[in-house]
Amino acid sequence: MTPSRLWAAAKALATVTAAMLLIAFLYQKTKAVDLSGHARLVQEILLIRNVDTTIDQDVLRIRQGFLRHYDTLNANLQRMETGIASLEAIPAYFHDAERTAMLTDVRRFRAAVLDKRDAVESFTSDHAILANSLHYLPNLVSALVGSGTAPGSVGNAPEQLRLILQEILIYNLHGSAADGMPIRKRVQDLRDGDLTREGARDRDDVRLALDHADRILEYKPRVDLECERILSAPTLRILGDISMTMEESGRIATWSGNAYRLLLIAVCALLAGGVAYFLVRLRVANDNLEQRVLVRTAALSRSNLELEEQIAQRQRAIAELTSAQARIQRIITIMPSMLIGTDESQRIVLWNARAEMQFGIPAAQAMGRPLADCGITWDFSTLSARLGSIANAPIHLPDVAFVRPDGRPALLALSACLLPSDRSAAGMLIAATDITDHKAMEAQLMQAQKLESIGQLAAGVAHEINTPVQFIGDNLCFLRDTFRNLIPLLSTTRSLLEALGAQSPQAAPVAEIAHQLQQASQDADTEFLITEVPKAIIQAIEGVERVATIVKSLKEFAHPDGREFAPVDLQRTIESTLNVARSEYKYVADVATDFAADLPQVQCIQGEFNQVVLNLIINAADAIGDAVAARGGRGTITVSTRRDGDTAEIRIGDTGTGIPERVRPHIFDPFFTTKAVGKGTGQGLTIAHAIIVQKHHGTMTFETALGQGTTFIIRIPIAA
Amino acid sequence: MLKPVALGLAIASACGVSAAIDGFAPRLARATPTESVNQLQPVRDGQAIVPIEPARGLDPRTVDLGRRLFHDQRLSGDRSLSCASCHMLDRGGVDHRRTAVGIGGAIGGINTPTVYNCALNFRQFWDGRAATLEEQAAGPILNPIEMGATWAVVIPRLEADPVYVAAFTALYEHGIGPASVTDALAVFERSLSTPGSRFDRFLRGEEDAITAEEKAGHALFVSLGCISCHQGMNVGGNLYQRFGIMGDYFADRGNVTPADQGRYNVTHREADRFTFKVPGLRNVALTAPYFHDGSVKTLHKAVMVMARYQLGAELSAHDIELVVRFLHTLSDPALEQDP
Repeated sequence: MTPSRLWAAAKALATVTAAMLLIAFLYQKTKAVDLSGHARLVQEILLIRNVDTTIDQDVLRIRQGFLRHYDTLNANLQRMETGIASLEAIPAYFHDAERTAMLTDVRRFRAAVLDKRDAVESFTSDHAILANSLHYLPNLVSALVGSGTAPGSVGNAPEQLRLILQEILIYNLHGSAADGMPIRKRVQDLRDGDLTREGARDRDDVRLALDHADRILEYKPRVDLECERILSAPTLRILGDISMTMEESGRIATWSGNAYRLLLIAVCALLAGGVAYFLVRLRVANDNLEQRVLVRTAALSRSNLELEEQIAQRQRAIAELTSAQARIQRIITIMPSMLIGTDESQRIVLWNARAEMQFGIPAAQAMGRPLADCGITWDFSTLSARLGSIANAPIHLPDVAFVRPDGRPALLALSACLLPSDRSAAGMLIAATDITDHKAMEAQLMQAQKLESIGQLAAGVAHEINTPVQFIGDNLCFLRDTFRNLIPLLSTTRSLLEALGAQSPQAAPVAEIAHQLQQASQDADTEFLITEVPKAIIQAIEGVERVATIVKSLKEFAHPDGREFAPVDLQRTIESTLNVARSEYKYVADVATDFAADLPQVQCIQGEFNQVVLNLIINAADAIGDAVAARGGRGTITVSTRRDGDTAEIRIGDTGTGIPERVRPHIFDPFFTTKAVGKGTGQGLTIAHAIIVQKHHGTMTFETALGQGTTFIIRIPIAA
Repeated sequence: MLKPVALGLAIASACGVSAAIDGFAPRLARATPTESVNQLQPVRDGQAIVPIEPARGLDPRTVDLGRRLFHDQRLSGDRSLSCASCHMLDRGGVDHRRTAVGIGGAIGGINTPTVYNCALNFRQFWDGRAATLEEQAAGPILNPIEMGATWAVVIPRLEADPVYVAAFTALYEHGIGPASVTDALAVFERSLSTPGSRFDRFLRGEEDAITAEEKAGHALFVSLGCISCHQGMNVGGNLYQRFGIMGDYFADRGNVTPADQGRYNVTHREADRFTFKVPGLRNVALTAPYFHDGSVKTLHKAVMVMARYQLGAELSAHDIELVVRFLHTLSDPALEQDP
C-alpha cells in the first residue's frame, strides 16, 4: 500500500466517520423531544374535564333525587386532585415562559378545585339535612292527618300542616328564594296559634313537623346556592387555558423536532444522492424511502390538526352540555304544558308541575310508576296503539280524551317523541296541553259571531217587513169597511129577489123595491168601490209577496242545511244576502251587481259563505257611511262574480274611505277593529278569512285606495 | 477504494433515514380522546346503599409487609403498642373502650373508629383532618398520647431488621422511610374490606338473605331519613354532618371537651363546630361503644340518641328494635364468628 493510497483510505474513513457522527447527532436531537409526555397531558386534561363534568352532573342528579349517595362525588373529586399532580409534571420540552404560564394556570386550577371541593362538602352536609326532613316530614304529617279523627285530637292543625307540606314540596321543586317567605310565615302562624285542642302527643308531633318544615325552608336556599357555586366553579375554564398553553408548547416542540428530522433527512438524502451515482439500486431504494417520508409527514400534520379540532369540539360540547342542562331545567319548570318523561321501560322519570296540577297527581306519586298505570284516567291501550309508530317520527295527537281529576271529560293535545339514548331501547317524552277549554271557546266564538250578524240584521229585516205589513193592514181595514157598507145593499137585493120570485099579495110592488135598491146602491157608493177594491186587493197581494221574498231570503241566508259542502248558485245566494242586508246599506249606497253567466255551481258551505259575504257588505256599507258622512251623496257597493279557470272569483267593492296604510297588515288579525267600541268585535274579518282560507282552501285579498274605496277579492276553487 | 466508502456512506444514510422515519411515527395520535373518556364512567346506581366492591389490584407482598407493620410494637415509642392494639382485627377493628388508651396508659380524647372498610371513607379521623390513608397512618404513630414515637426512632429500628430491609428494598425504590412505611400500612388497610354482609347479598338480588323484620328495619331506616347521611358503599363515611341537628346533644350531655368541637378543630370555621365525619355503619353491631365520645354502650341506645338529636323524634322500642336488626345485616359474617 503506497502512502498516497493510505492517505486516501484515511480520508475516506474520516469522511464516513464524520458523516456518521453528524447523523448520530441529528438523530439524538430528534429523540430529545419526548412527545409521549404531550400525549399523556392531553389525555389527562380530557379525563379531568370529563370527571369535572361528571361531578356537576352528579350534583344535579343528587339534587333531583336520581342519585342517592355521595360516593361518586367523592371519588371524582379525589380523581380531580390526583389530576392536579399529573398536570404539575410538566414535560421537558416546555420552554421557560410556557412552563411559568402552565404552573400559574395549574395553581389557579388547584385553588378552583379546592374551592369546588369545599362547596361539595357543604353541599353534601346541607343536602343530607334537607333530604332527611323532606323524607321525614311527609310521613309525620300523614300520620298526624290519619290520627285526626281520634278523640282528643280534633282541630285543624294537621290539615293546615298538610297544606303547608304541599306548598313546601312544590317550593322545594321549583321555588325561588322569595317563594319561601309566605310559607315561613304560615309555619310561624301555626306555631304561634292555639294548639291546646290537640292531644299532648299530637301537639309534640305538630311542633316537630313545624321544626322540620323550618329546616327545609332554611336549607333549600342554602343547597341551591351551593349547587350554583359548584356548577359555576371556574375549573373548566382554567382547564381550557391550560389546554391552550399546552397546545402552544406542543406545537413548538413538534415543530422543532420535525425541523431536526427534516435536517437529518436532508443530510442523509445528500449523502445518498452522492453515492447514487455509483450505486443505482441503492438510489432506487432511497427514492422509495423519500416517497414514504412525504406520506408519513402529511399524515402527521393531518392527525395533529384533527386532534386539535377534536379537543376544541369537546371543549365546546362540554360547555354547551352544562349550560343546556341548566336551561332545560328552567324550561321544564316554566313549561305551560304537561311534560311526562319515561325511561326505556316506560317508567315515569319526569313529571312537571303542570302535570301535577292538571292530572291532580303529585310528582312523588307518579315517579317510577309505569306510564300505563300512572293514575291518569284515559284509554291507555288506544293511546299506546296510536303511539306505535313513534320510532319513525314524533307523533302529534290533537284529540286524546281523558278525565280530569274532578271527573269531567276533557281533551288533550299530545305530542310525543323518543328521547335519544345510547342504549337500544329509548325513553319517551310526552308534552300535553288540556285543550278542552280552548275547543269550547272556539265553538262559542263562532256561535257568537253568527248571533252577532243575525242580531244586527234583525232590526233591518223587521223594518223591511214592517212597511208592507202596514199597508196590507191598511188595505184590509179598507176592505172591511167597504164590505160593511155593502151589507144593506146586499140585503135589499135579496128582498127584491124574494118579491120577484114569490109574487105574493103581501109583497110590496116591484117598482117600490127597485126604488129602494137604487137608493141602497147609491148609499153604498158602488161606483167608487168598483174602481178601488180591486186596487186595494192587488196592493195587499204585492205586499204579501214582498214579505214572502224577504222571509225566503232570510231563510236562504240562514240555510239550515248549509253546514256541509254542497253545490251552490253563487248569484242566488249573494242576492239573498243582499236582500237580507238591504237595511244596512239602503240609506247610504246603491248596489250594482254583475254576475257572470258562465259561472257553474260552486262547492261551498253555504251558511258560512253567506256569513262572509254579509260581513263584507256590512263593512262596505260602514265604509261608505263614513265617507258619505264626510262628503255627502250616496255610494255604490259593487258585487261581481267571475270565472277564472277552475276558480270562482267574487269581488265586493265599495266607494268608501279606503283602508289606511298602517292598518292594512292587521285587518285579518283577531280582535283588530277600527269600528267604534260596541259596534264590532274585531272578529268578522278574522273569521271570514279563516272560512275562506282554511275551510274552502281559497284566498282572500283586498285592493284599497284612500278616499276611493276598497275591494275585497275572494277566490275559491269551483270543485272543492 | 471509492466503492467501500460509498457503501459505508450509503449504509449510514439509510440508517439515518430509517431512524428519522421511526421518529416521525405520530405519537400524538395515540392519545385519541375517545379512549380516555370511556375509561372513567362513574358508578350509576339508584340505590342509596351500594354493595362493597372488594379491593383489587393490591400487591400481595405490600399487603403482607403492611400487615407485619400493623402488628409491630416497634412502631410505638416504648415498644408497647402496635396499630392492632387498638384496632383489634378479630374484634371488629376497634378496642371497645370509651376512648382510646395510648402509651403509658394515657387516655385519649376520642373513640377508636374501626379500621375495617376505612378505605371507603372520604377522609380519615372523626374530624376528617387526613385526606388519605397514608396521611392517617402517620397520625397515631407520632401522637404523643397514642403510640408516642418519632420517625427518627422508628426508622432505625426497622432498618435493624433484615426481614424489613429485604421486603422494603424489593418493593420501594428508596427503601425504608416514612413514605414507604405509611404506604405499606395504607395498602394493608385497603385490603381490610368486608364485602360479605347479608345486606350486600340482598342488594345483589338474594331476596332471602335478610328476614322480613330486617327488611322492615331497612324500610324504617329509609323512611325516617337515616339514609340521607348513611348511604353509599360504607353506609356513611362520605360527608360531614353536625351532631345535634334537632336538639343540643352537647348541652344535654354536658362537660364539653376539645374533641367535641369536631371539624372546627381543623378549619376553625364556626359552621364546623360540633361537625364530624359521618361514620360508616358497616359492621356497626361489632364496634360498640358508639359515637366519637364512646358514650353509648348499646346499639339500641345509639339508634335512640340519633333519632332524638338528628331527627327530633322519640322512636318506639319496637321501631328501635327493627332498625337495630337491620343494622346487624351490615356485619360481615367472617368478623361475627371471631371470638
